[in-house]
Amino acid sequence: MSVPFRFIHAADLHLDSPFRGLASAPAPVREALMESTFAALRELTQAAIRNQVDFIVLAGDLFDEADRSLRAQLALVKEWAKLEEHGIAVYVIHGNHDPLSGARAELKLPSNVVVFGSDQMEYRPAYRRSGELAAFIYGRSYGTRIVTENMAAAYQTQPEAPFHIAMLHGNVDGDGTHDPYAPCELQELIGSKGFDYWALGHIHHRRVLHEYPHVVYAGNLQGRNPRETGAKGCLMIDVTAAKVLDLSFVPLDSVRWLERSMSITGIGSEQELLLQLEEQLDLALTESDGRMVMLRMVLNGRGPLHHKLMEPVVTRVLLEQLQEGRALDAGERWIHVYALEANTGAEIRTEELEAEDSFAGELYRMSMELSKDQLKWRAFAQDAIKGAASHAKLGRLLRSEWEELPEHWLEQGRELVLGLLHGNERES
Amino acid sequence: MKLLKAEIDGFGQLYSKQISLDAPVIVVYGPNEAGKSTMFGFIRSILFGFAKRTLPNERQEPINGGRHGGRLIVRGAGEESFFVERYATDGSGKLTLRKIAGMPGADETHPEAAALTQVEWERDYLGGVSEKLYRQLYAITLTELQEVGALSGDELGRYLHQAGWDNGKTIAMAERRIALEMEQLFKPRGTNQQMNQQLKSLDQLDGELRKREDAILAYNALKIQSASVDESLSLLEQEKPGKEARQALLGKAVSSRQIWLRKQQLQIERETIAYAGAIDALDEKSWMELLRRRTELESESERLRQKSLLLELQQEATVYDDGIITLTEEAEALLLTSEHIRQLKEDAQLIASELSEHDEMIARLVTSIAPEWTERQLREMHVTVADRDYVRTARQEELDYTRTAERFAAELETLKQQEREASAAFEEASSAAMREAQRRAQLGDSTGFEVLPLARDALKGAWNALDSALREWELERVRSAGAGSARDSAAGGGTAAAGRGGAGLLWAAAAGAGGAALALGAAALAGAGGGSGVAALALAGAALVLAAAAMLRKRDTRSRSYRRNGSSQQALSQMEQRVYQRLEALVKKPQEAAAALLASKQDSSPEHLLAAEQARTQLRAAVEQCLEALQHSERLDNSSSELARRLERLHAHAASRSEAAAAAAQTRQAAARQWAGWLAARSLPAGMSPAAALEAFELAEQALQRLQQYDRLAAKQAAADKQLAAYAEHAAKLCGHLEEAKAQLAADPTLALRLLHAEIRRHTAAMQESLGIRSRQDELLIAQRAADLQQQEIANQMDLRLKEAGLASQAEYELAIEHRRSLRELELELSKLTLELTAGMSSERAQALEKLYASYDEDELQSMQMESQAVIQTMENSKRELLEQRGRLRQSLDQLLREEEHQKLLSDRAMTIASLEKDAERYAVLAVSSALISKTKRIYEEERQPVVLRKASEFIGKLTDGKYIRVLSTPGEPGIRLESSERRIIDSGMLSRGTAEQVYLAMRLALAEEASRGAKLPLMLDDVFVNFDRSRLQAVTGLLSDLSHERQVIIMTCHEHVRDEILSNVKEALLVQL
Repeated sequence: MSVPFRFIHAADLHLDSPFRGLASAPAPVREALMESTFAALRELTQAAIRNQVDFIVLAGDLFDEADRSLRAQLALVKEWAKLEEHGIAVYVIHGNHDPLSGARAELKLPSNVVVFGSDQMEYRPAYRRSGELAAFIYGRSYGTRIVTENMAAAYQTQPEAPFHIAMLHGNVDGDGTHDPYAPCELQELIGSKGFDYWALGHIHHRRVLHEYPHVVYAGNLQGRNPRETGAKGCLMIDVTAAKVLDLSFVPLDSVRWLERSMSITGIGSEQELLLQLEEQLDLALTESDGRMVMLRMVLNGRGPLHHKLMEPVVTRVLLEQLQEGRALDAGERWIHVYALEANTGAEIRTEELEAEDSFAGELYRMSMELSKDQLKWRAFAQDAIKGAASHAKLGRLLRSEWEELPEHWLEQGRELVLGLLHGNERES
Repeated sequence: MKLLKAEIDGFGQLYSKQISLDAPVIVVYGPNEAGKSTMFGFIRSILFGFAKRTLPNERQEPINGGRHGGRLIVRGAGEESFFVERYATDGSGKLTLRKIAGMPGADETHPEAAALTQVEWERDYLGGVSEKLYRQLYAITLTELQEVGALSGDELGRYLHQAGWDNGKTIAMAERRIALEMEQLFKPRGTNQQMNQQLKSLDQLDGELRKREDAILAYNALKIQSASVDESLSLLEQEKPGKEARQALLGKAVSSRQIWLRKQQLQIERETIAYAGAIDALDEKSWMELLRRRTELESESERLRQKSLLLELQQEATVYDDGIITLTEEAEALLLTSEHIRQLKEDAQLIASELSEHDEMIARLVTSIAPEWTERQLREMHVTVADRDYVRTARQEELDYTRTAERFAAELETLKQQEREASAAFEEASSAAMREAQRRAQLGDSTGFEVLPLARDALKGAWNALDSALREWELERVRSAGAGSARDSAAGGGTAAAGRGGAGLLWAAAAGAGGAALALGAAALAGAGGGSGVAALALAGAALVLAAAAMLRKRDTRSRSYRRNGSSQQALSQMEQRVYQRLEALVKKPQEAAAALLASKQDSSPEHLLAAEQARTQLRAAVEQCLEALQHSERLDNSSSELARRLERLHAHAASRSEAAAAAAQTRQAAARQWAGWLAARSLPAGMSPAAALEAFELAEQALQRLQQYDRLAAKQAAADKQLAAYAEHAAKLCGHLEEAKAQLAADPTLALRLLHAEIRRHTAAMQESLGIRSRQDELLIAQRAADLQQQEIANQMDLRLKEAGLASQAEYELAIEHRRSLRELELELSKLTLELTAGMSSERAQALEKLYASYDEDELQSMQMESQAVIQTMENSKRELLEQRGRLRQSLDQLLREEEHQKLLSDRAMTIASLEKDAERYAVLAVSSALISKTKRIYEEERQPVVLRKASEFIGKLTDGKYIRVLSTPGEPGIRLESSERRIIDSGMLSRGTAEQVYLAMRLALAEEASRGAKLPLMLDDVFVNFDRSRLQAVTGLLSDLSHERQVIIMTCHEHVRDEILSNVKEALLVQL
């Protein structure tokens, strides 16, 4: 029998992270965004104190840049000092964004903080605030930015511990959207190693890969770019004496990234579209839990407005209209539409087009063949963008995109051409 | 579709022309301007509609008459024949289609006729070929043929796509748009494109970021520096206190050396006077006390001696007389009465003035009673109650007498007045009566009839007699006149009868009226005199006269009509006589009056009747006036006699009253005589009235009262005078003892007494003082003795002290005391100096200081101090520097922590990358779009073009007799190329004109074949073979012959050899000669 205790599992704080994927933003939004990772960190401290947790485990990527943000390091020390006052221990491993090799400010860490080394797996006993031994915590930091060895393989439990919590920053089961650092298989973690809880970091999407033993990504504390949508925060885990786990999510984000899509089918005018978009904004705001909202609106479906929306000017003006209608007062909750994307199609009946003996029909059939055949598509797309991709700087910068060759390019391209042909034909 | 016949109603120069076209190949031959092109245009117009009016060249309005338009007879794919009709006038060139049931050429039409829209027509019958496509592919002139040669690669491509899908332009537009947007976004070598610019700014941002100092390294460096600074500082802090203490000690040594020297000196001095230490402070104090007390006592005894001397002198000065003192009680007693005496004197004066006042008053009162009165009469005067009563009765009686006399006088006055009024009224009445009599006398003149002056009753009787006489006369006259008129007028019978019938009645009425009038007049006369009575009377008289006149006329008429004889005349004169008699009794001139009254006697005309009537009225008025006047004067006579009687009565009354008044006057005089006697008896003035006498009584009483008061006061005054004299005597006796008082006595005894009393008091006081002085002298003596005893005691004590101290004299003792004081001062200074030297020092430091003083002289100490000072200064400097350095470091650290520029740059960089990614994605989509179009085009060119090119190759092979075997068109490269039988590739631009035209024709034919597989539209060629040589011409005719199996071919030419060649080569060819 062990004692019941409570801890927080958080990861990927990415403090002081610049906001990627945002071409422009008004000053208040910018400020709120730049401040948001710090705000989330403070919220984490508050949540820990409020909920009287016994300790916190941080599974890597505390800073965003390997060796750059002094502010982030100072902020961490400050918050940790607060936790120290409340007797809450902090167990930390570093990840690919903040490896131990990175420059570090000469800061004295509070006594309640344990940072695991990078040479091998280490372990520390963790106590309840009342002093009883609660668990052993195992972990290993990244020594350098890139770690491709299977770190988990070397993790071993200590027999005297009442409960085993392993911290690991890495890619379990090869999530393609994240760097394949410290790769390992889920099977390996839930196998015979004997850990009770794998506190994972690296993947920013919160999910529970397995229960008993629990293999859990806490996700990041604060969404930092258009891809990191939805509520973000930490997990609070209650462990009973009988080692029954109860996971609860604690949202900590101050700015929430959301994406909503809306079909333009049946919408006849820009005015109507704008009205419906405003409704969507209001909906988004009600779903935001009182937080500030960064919203991307995606228009889809086929409708008469498609031709207008194909004009970049039109979407830009619509976006400005949406933005203008909303005040961005500091301290108030606000919603900022940072992008309006039109993935719409002209009013074309594809089944007719499929059979049509025409240029458009030919084009449609050909593009459908491409989307069916990944290899053909990649060859086709590579050929199409080779002018830009071969540009030294651009090619380097956007290598991942160039290499990924997302299929929505094909879809959008097809719609664009069909739309143009359709529209022009209609006009002539 | 095959054309069977063209029926041209009117089109350009052609009209009413029927051209059979029922053959696979038709050669239309004609010289220039024969209408070949017109026919060409006609067929196109029927198929696709008339050209617009703006293009008259193509519209071809008929110039030789006929309806603009016509019809084609065609056979469709299903072997059905139709009329295709189009007239410009019908629904602006709408197409009408009619099926033909029977043989081609037969005019019998199917009943069904349908008007089709052009779109339906093209879709259903022309295989979707539009006019444009038709012109390009099926109706070829030389110009259009050569267009093919001018095509560049892309254009050719478009041409080719267009042949399959009529939106080449659309595709081009889409391509252009995509390309434009791509160019705006990015160019590999561009600078101004959006993405290129973003790349540039990214470079800049990266550069700036690189240039920036690494915050963490800087932070760490600063931390290390500040740590070393802190260390140096703490070292300094440790060293500093020791150095500073040493410095302080040296400073103290230098500054306090003088004090130390002084201290040494004082210590030596102390040794010399140490002996005085034996005398303690208590000794000194008691010695001093003894000295002080001795001095005190000495001065006290001196003071006492002086005082006793003074008292002796005072005693000598105090003198008094016992004799005067014995007078004290008496003088005081007399002084006590002095106030009473003063009061008495004042009273005496008051009484004197009062007496004189009384005297005056009495004199005034007596004089007011009577001037001759004196005090004697007053004292004799005794007024009793009876006297008073008598006087009051006399006064009352006199009052009664006076009132009675007055009443009589008043009555007499009233009576006199009444008498005067009555006599005046009487005179007035008599004169009024006189005036009346005169007026009556004048009355007769005014009426014309002078009535006799008769009494009233006589006059009335006379009138009544006259009146009745007149009436009788009238009756008689009327009677006679009536008989006459009845005879004269036969027609008047009716009237006469009526008149007869009513005659009695009339008469009675007239009599009544007359009586009434008279009664009325009498009544009026009897009622009230005056104008109104006369007028009423006159009116009544007039009425009476009229009534009488009327009756008289009737009667006269009647009497005339009935009686002609003299009896009536006789009666009438009797009557007249009687009237006359009566008149005589009434008026003064009876003849005139009778004449006037009886004027109607002879002639009874209305004029006469009226005159008689008037005369009668006048008479009557005169009588009445006379009557009235008579009555009035009667009334006046009555009144004057009444007044006379009243006057008489008044005279009698006045006489009786005068007698009564005279009696009263006598009584009064008797009373006055009695009163005068009474007054004389009392020696009162004779003229005094009883009221005055009463007054005199009052005054006399007052005067008597005063007199009594006067007597009383006089007695009082005498008593006071006696008292005053006694007082003055007593005072004079007492004042004899004192000279000053004696002198004053004459003036005022009281003042003298006071002076004496003052003297007495002075002597008494002097005696008292002398006694006091004596007792005080005794007291002083006792005090003197006590002081002497104390002095002795002190001297003993002092001797005892000297003995105790072992000193010989008082002087020595005092010196010792002096030394003792010096010693104490020395010791005080010494301890002060020691304190100054060692204040706040620990004992060790004090010792060290002592050691310093012992070991070094002043110069040495000073140099040592300087050295130490310099060391400390150096330490201070380095400390300040270190502090400054630490401040700078902290500032830098703060700055570093506040730094946001780095973040901003990072954020800008992230944003730039984001825009770049966004644009790149758009670029990629555009690139993909562009690629999709290109690829589709390539499909067209590579998969569908080869069919066209294969056909073209086949045709060119046939045309050139195998010289050229293939037509080629490479996507992305311009122009058409040929492959010769020797596998040589020749660009179409390099070919001879003829060959080139053959190639183009081959292309056209191939495109035409490929483009419309459904409806085989007829192919029309307008003289396109002109540059062909014979063999090629043969070849082309052969080819056309082959093609015409599937598609009708219409060839227009103006060249005979072309015509002949075709006709000879194509068996089914039909010649149409224009």
